[in-house]
Amino acid sequence: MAHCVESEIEAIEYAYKQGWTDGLPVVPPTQDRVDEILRRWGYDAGDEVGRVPERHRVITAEMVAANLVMAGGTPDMFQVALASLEAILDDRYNVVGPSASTGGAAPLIMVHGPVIETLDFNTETAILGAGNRANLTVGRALNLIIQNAVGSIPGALDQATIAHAGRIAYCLPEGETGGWPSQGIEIGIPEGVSAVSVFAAEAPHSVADHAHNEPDGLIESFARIILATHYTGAAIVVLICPEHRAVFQRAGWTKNEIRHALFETTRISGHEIRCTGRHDYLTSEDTLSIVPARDDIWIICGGGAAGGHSAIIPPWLGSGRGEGSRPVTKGVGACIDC
Amino acid sequence: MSIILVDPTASSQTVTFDLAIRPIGSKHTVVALLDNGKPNANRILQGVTESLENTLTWSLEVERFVKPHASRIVPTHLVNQIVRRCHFAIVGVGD
Repeated sequence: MAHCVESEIEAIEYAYKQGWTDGLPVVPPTQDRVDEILRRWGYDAGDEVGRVPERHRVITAEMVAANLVMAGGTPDMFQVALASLEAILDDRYNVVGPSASTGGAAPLIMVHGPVIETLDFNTETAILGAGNRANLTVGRALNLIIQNAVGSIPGALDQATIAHAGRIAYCLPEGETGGWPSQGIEIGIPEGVSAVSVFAAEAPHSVADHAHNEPDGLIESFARIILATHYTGAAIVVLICPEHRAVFQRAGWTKNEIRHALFETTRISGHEIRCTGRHDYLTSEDTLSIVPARDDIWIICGGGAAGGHSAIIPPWLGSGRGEGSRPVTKGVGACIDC
Repeated sequence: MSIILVDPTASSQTVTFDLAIRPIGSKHTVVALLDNGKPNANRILQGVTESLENTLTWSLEVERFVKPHASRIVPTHLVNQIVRRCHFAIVGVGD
């Protein structure tokens, strides 16, 4: 079916009528704009770039380009969008789960490597908020792809009870680490290679601590927020702001020491977890930490220089018993699995 | 001049299935009760079992299965197991 309109304004309204938008206006996915992206990266419109076997869907390069255009992205961002798509279509991400579940998780795109600077992602003030094109449009493009190509349409296959704003855009590029290794380096992404790690995640839970100037107090603050989240055998992301990072670094702490401290401090009994209305299969004798292993605590540095505001980003609730959500990493314009 | 827009959506490919033969009759019947792994799925399946036992006039054998992961599709080996051993299956969807 041909989609023809007479003006750009009409095209915006047309996109609403077709159900292509996320509720916000989109940049019209004109043939010219889409073709420019495909030419730039050497794809034909019908080139297959992914499949959703559970829904008998094939996703083409043209669909990815069209959704990127609608999100307001530039042709430069196509490879990041493609890598993000590859990550959610990986069996470990299980896209038909978090994008359909009542849990309402959103795909958090963590960005690693040189592409952060090349595409001008924002890693500082309001890192998870408004004000930056790359953060917002790359995050939005993936959500539009999930809606339009994967088929998780809110109210239909997407049955999120409340969801959260990350369903519009949820992008977390790695910021200044002050000498610590980045999370990307820690998981083995080679220096100079760009990648994304996509994680089915809840909204960020704020850790606002302006009082503690030593690590133990901060760990206690982080742990208290974590204790109210899910113990599903999944990973968890800890976003550490510059002020809090400085406290740890002045005391000589490494990222692994933070992981160890959080792992130990969040160890609680099955009874305590059941009191939150979750995980009724646990017994009072069970003892669990927030994650199965210390390496499941992902530490991302970022945020504005001022303020003691870090965040805990918990996993999708629906991950089940001991086999929870974990970030899935894919190279941007490079294979890091090969 | 008209503007042509590219459709950003993917459609499901058409897939055809043959319906299984309905096990209607008075022979011994084996039913698979598949729990989708979410809270309360087992409750509704228990109720369905009791209802079947009270309704059917022939012998009913129940085989119970649980999806290993609530959010994933049923693994092929489990589907094959159910097909081999049971005449039909009822899925309990809890939440």
